[in-house]
Amino acid sequence: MLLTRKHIFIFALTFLLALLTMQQSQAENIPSRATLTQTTLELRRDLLIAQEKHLSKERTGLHFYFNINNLASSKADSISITLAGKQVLKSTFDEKLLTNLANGGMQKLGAIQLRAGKHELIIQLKSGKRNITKTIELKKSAGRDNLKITITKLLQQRTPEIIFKHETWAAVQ
Amino acid sequence: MKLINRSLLTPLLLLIGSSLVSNSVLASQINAKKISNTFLGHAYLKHQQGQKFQAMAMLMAADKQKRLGGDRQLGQLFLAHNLTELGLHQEAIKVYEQLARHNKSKQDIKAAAWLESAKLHLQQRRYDVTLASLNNVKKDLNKKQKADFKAAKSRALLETGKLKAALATLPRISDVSIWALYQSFNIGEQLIDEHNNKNGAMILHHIGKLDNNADEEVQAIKDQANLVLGFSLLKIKKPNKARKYLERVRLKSHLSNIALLGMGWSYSSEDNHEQALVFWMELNNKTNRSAYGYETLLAVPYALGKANAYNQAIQYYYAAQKQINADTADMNEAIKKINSNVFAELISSNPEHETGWLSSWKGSSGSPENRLLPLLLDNPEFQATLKEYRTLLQLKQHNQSISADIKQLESSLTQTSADIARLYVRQRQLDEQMQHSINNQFIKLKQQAFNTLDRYKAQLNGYSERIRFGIAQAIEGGTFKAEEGL
Repeated sequence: MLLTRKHIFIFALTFLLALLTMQQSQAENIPSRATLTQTTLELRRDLLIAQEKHLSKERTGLHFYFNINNLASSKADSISITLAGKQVLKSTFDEKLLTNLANGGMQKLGAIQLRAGKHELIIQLKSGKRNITKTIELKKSAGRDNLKITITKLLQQRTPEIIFKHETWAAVQ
Repeated sequence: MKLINRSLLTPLLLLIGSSLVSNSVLASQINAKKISNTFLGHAYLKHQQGQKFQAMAMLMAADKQKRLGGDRQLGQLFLAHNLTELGLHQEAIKVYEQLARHNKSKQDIKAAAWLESAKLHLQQRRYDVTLASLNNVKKDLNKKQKADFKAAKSRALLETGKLKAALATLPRISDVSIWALYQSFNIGEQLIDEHNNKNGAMILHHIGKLDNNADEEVQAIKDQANLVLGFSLLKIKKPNKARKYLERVRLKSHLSNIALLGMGWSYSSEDNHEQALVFWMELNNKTNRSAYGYETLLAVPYALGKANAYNQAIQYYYAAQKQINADTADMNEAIKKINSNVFAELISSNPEHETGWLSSWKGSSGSPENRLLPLLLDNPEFQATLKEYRTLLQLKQHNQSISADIKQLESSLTQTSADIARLYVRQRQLDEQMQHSINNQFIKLKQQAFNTLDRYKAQLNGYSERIRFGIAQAIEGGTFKAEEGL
């Protein structure tokens, strides 16, 4: 009889220990929020790269970005881009966006598909009653191209000026 | 009998004076005017527009594709700031320290990276590491960073027992950096509470008198400083001086109830019970109760008794008992409701907003009584568990939107892609893991709610005993007064 009780006790103890170990390992398997956030960010990152790889406009298109530099007194109302006599992009700006742009942000105006080679683009900026036009000759690469359009005003100048920066990147493989 | 529970002073001081820090304050902004790279500039704009998650993923993608060029260090700094904002402190420290140790990093980037990693180490109570990181900051700090540097160093020195050095390193009290101001508050509170040092009172005094009535965060720190200083003065029996600070707490502040309670105590300790009643009655008339609100249930009849208004005192004691019975019954009912499936739905609604659950809670018959809500939210542990739960729900929403975007990408392709198949597998695995974490966090949340309500029930139960004693004392006082008049 005593032996049986001892056996039951040992069995119960073993069972309890196994249960505790199981619970502990379950708790250890629950990923932390930090891990989940990092994994989500990495998944979103890789999706962005996959989108660029599989969507041709993203992969080998011409992407337009816009920012404002040193422009305290003038406002930009809208910007349009014309290629071979055809308007390919037009964007308007509100107060909030202009503030963000003046604080260092860059707005993506859009992207177009364009074959590699030389092209002439006309950029027209509307600022109040003033229209500022500038033409740029751009050599489109075989990969992805970014064209940064910046409006700036030098201290001694009255009229804002449009400046460009052209970046090229190999197509995502 | 000691009806006014002065033992509540210490927990209250701890509640209002617990180490203050917030992620948004911790993550200072980068010098965005220096951005030249289009990918970084675009990510920065998305962040400014509130799409922080998308901004980080864009930045990470550009970095993985080695597209950040000369702006890579600035981009890494921005990434680390964002990781801090999301609460990923270890990951942020890793990025900061890589930047700080890199030979090619610019001096101002190195200084910023060492400083920011030191701030994170400080928050995680690794004070020696904080000091070591700060020792690497050589120069190139702007005004705000200088304030952060001094505040971090002073706090770390204080925590490691170097009181004199900590006092010598204190930053000037100003609103140039909210983070430094938070730390100064923590230092001041700690100097009073643990070191009994007068400099602590001076720090809190200067914070409370800061000439800034526009910034909401500065206002909140000023309220905290005035409240802690007021209660500290009450503790050392200087009620007149305490009032000077308690009166400065703004009425619209969530701390105004504690200030009202303190004002009552200050007059009560001078045996000016009529004046104490002015503040306690105001607090007693508020429908939403909390730890200090319940305290006034007994403080009011106590003060009435002391002012020889025995009949009124008895009436208030009976009203208090009635209120306690009703609230205890509501708490029991609330526990049942929290155990039901409706609670899970309510607390999980509108996950896109941090407080999105409130509108569902207030409009549903399945939710616990609205007036019990402040009791739950007054508990910092419940609040933290709820915030974590809601953040996990938000994360799940992000994951669901990723799933929709993968589907959209798939539908735009003419043939199947191994890339997309792999993304699907990762997304589904992540979804399962998230659900597991959400379920686990929900169990913790329910337990926190039960613990909070059980604690209040025990507190109210203890009050019943004190009410019986108070009634007996008031009856005795009334009888004595009647006999005196005969």
